[in-house]
Amino acid sequence: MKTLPMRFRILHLLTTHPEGLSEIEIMDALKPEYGTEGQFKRSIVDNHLASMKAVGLVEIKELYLDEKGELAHKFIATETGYSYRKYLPKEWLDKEPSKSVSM
Amino acid sequence: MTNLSASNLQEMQMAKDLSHAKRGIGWGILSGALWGLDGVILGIAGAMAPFTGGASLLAAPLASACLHDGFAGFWLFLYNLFTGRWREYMRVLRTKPGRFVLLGALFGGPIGMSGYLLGINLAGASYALAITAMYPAVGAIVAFFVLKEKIQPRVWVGIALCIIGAITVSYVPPEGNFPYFYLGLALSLLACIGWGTEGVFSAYGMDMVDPPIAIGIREATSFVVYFVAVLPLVAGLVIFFQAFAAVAVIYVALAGLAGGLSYLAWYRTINMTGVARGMAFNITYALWGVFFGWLLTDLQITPTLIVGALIIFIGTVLVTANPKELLKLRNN
Repeated sequence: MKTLPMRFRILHLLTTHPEGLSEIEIMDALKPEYGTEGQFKRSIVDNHLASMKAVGLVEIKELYLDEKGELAHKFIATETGYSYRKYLPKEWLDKEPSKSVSM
Repeated sequence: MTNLSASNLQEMQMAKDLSHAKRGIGWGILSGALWGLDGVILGIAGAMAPFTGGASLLAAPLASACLHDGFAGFWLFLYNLFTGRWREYMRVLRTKPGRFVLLGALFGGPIGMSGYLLGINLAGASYALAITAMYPAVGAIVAFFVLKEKIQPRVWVGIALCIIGAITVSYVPPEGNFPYFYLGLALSLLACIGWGTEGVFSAYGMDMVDPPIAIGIREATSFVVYFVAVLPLVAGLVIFFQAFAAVAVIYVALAGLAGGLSYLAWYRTINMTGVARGMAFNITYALWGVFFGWLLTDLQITPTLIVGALIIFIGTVLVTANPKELLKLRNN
């Protein structure tokens, strides 16, 4: 299966996890696909999430402090975010691979 | 640390969101400044061989635009290579969001620029510049309806002032005889719509695509279309290749660097602050063009330039006045 653009993949991942995912959980889930690339950095992932939040594709379900005392979030996809699944390649819709990613 | 109340956490989050929004504004201002610098450097190159002399009024600027976007695309590819993003190019092109970026590239690159240059040729610079300078309004209106972007009344006024200021700065008195005047006006309008809609297409694509990749694809696409479809039509390929043997190519490469960085900043700001504000920042290039023109060339500062620059400045202040408006960009 062809790898998706990382931002799109983060959105897709959130649409398969209605319970919400934290930044750390997102990073862990994406590691097998993007882990070797220079763009696979917390700051870049944070920026994707902040940008998608500003345009209303994802929202924060829960705010809390992580063990380091830093602000952490549970993100969920919004209705608009879910609607963007129409742009997913067919192979991704058929297989819903993120369900098989071990968390 | 765990005893922080929910409202404390909300406040911390608000501060974080605001810093994201303010970074977006910073990118916007940088985008306008670099675009102004780009224009001044490209102007210096345009006064050199092979862009002068016997070259036609269309072929030379289009060859220079082709080279400019080619260099910008090349510099952006290097940026994406060194930041570990290069694999994203193919991923984006394979998916549908990539097609929105491609459409934006066509509208903003070859269609917009060819319409603009033809408009200047057929209707004269005074009309072509004034019409094409309205592109932020077109972008804001389309974004308002298509992306449901929230645009406050104060921001509309700011955008209008940025446009009026840009027209004031670039105003030249009408002169000459233009037998295809109305065709020229129509083509200027086409450029205006092309530049305006580029922002909306790219904004929609960047919902799912990293801005540095979107702009890398945009510049590369623009270069290829100029090279394959536009330059052969206007006999511009000769000039394109001659440029590589001339000093001018160094200036175009530098302009492409400023242009590539400007576009990178612009696409980021569109993504972080919305299309309407991104466009208003972009057109502040007219103000920066005066500044860099005065610094790097023998541009004379006239009262008209100062008035135009002041109007742009006030417009920008109105557009950026309240970063809290950037926390939720759309009504969706």
